[in-house]
Amino acid sequence: MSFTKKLVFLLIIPLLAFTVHKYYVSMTKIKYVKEKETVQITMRFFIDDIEKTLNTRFKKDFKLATSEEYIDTDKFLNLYIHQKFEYKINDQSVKYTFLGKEYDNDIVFFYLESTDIKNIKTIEVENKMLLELFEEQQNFIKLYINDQIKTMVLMRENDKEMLKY
Amino acid sequence: MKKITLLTFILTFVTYGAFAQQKETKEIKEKQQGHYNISKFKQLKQEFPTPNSYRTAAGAPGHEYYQQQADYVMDIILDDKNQKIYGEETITYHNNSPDDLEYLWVQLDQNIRAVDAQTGDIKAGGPGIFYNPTKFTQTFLGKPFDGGFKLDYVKDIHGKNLPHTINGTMMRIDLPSVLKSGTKTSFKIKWWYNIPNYTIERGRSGYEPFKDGNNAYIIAQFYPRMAVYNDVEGWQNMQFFGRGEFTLPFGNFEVNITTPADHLLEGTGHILNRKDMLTSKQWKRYQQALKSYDKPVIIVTQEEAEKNEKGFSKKTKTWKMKAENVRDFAFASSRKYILDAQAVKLGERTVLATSIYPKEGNPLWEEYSTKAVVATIETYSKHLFNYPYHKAISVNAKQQGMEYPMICWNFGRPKADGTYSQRTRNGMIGVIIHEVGHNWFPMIINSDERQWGWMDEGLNTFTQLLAEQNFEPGFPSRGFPVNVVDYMNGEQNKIAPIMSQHENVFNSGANAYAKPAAGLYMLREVILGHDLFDKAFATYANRWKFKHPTPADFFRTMEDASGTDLDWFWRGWFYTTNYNDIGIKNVKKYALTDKPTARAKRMAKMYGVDVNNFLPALFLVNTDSDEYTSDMANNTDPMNDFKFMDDYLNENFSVEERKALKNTKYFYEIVFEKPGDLVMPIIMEVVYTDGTKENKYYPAQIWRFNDKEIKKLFATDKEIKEINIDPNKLTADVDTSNNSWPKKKEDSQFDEFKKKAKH
Repeated sequence: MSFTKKLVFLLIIPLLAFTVHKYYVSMTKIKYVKEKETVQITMRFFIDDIEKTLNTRFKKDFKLATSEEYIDTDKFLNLYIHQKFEYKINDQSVKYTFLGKEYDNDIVFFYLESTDIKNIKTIEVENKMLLELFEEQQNFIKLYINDQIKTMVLMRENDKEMLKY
Repeated sequence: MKKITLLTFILTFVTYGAFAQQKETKEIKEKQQGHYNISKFKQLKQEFPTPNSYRTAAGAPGHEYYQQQADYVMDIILDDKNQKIYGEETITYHNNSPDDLEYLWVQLDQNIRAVDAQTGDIKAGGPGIFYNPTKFTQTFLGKPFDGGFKLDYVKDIHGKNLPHTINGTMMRIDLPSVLKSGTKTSFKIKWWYNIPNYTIERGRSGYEPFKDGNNAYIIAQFYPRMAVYNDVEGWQNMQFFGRGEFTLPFGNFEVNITTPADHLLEGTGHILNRKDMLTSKQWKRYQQALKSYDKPVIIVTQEEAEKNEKGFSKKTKTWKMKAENVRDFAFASSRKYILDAQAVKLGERTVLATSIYPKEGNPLWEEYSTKAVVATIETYSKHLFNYPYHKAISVNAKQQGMEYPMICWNFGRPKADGTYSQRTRNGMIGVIIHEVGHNWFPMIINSDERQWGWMDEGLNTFTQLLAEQNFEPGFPSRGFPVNVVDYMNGEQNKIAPIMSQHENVFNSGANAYAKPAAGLYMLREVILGHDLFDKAFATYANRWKFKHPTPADFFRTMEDASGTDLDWFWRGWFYTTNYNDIGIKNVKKYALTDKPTARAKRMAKMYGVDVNNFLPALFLVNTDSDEYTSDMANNTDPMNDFKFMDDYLNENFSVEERKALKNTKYFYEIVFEKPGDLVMPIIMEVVYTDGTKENKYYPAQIWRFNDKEIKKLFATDKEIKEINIDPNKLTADVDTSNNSWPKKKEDSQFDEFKKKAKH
């Protein structure tokens, strides 16, 4: 199978009208721990969706959550997340570290962390993960900052949002 | 005298309460506005249709209930070389309604792929991410896929053309004379269409091409079908836009399908000439399968299929099919199919659980498909009613999950090297159980899918969960309440109530599948309990099998058959996007005293009563208040530390009886808060310092006078160590950080991961 064919094949899957309808939802929790001056980020995705996305993008069979999982998966995941997820605090881009991942049935969690965050007056989040492949994908962002809980929902038409505190 | 004191006491308490409220109201300076009944426990009289002689207030079919019938006699030709279908049908339509019909509506669902279809036009959105050559040519170069029915004629039974008007996916046929109530009419349609490659054109039907030159056809919505006319919608007038599925009357089918001579076909109904279609060896194996109750028998082997798929016969053969009392007809046909089957005993009857799949489905399919079909038939038959048809077929089709009477398409294939992950296996088993389960909802309990996706998907996803847990305890089912928390906690302007027309919900998977399933799971596990729920659910299924139920029929039956008012639950879970969040705001401890408290004195004074009239009595004092004194800490045993109590007990109880009394000495006032706007029961787990646990359940009605915050006194003979709300996560509580007292300073998931990562 040529690469183009494979790409076509992979693109079509999400466009189908299934009667067993999957829901294309991810959840990212962003928590500011003021006393530690850190931002803790926990992302939650369906393994299938992440796997399809990685396989398409990096032209490999990652075999996520199996005994034969591709050995450098985390490296590629790190790369993918950095390509698709960005955020700014007080108008400045924030660097974050990919700490690792964890599986739970058909769910995968990603853990990211940023340090030396002194205060948060504004935050802008851009999460384009999976949007390139899944038309219906909704990336929910839940922000636990300065004793307030706020929500964003990012999707194709609106993949970036800003909040003021 | 004693009695009078008690009476005064009670009276005073009640009046004092009312007085206090009055006073409070007066303090509000601005004049308040009135309002309609905004109680979350308001009955659903305005939402439900008025009961009538067609549908009763109990949720059952009424004494004048009717439904139409449509019978089909069809000749179909499957042209594998050109991927076309040709058909001729005679539809006999029985007007069982009390109404005379001036015209008939026929559904032309293939027109969703017609060049001029509206489907794409109603969909907003910018450019796609990329367009492969086929899609680019179709979209921009003026060469769209030419799908849709091409009608050769619509004629009456004498061969005279019938005037007809096509409106998108529907066709109005004008009859020469009115179709009187209680009469029937027959007419003929001839048509053909280009079968779509569904791996490109999407949708629930079409063909999948294989590299070896073969196609696997999964064919449905392939014939003009009668629309439903009934007492709630008149004629169904909602177009087929792709998501809102089908609404069909029951009827009988006689279908001849001509395929290439080397095809293997399975479909709705009996294959009358099956013996002619199999080799004598295969026929023998088929007979064996009919008696094989413990394991599947492979009727057409992989070896035979692999040989067969190389043939490309130019000859044809005709499959003679007959189905009774079904709402639809579908079939799958290919040279590539392997066939296996296992018998399932249901009372006196035997049902054949069957699977067909290309070799690309193995080794996964021969291992699990038929077993999953068997598990579905068993669990659903137990909870609803015995599967009434003679077979249930699971067809392996790439990327599909779609149901028809007796037959369904299911995804799930191993990789080219034959390996597969646990997720691929579970995904395949889940989809098979789901699609086979659809035989009950909506193929037999024939709800209107075009209007209400949840009525079949939600009820089916719930029963699927029961079947999955039966197939394999601990199976990762999607219908558990905890799985809808993220969805219900999401952005409100991207959520629609379950009671929304299916085309208009934002997230069908969560809204029509998982959320209603989680709701039913809660009803069964929390609100009604297994006995009442199972009785009511089976009552609904049996009342409406081979009939057309509406949402109100379901809601009403569940209440009527369980003897439980559930209007508050339907209102919150199905008619709104409200979410559940119940927590413990605080817990106050109280001590006992035999001296009147300030509260008692205040009340006595207000009514000019001597406070000593209350005595002897016990009073409760908040241990955090100024009134709490050290002697109260020493007199904690109500049965022994207070002489008048001791005397009373000795006077009124024998020594044995006294021993049996519960020595209640711990008094807690629990303040429950409800940041969520949904009303839900409170499931409380009390953990005592001695390590024992007790569960307390407060019905949802506890919230009827205060939707935000309520207090409850909890008295016990043991000291409480902690209290947890909904410890087993049965109520889709969106924020569990307020669910415990004392507040649990749990490591967050993030911190836990970091700790683990360090080790």
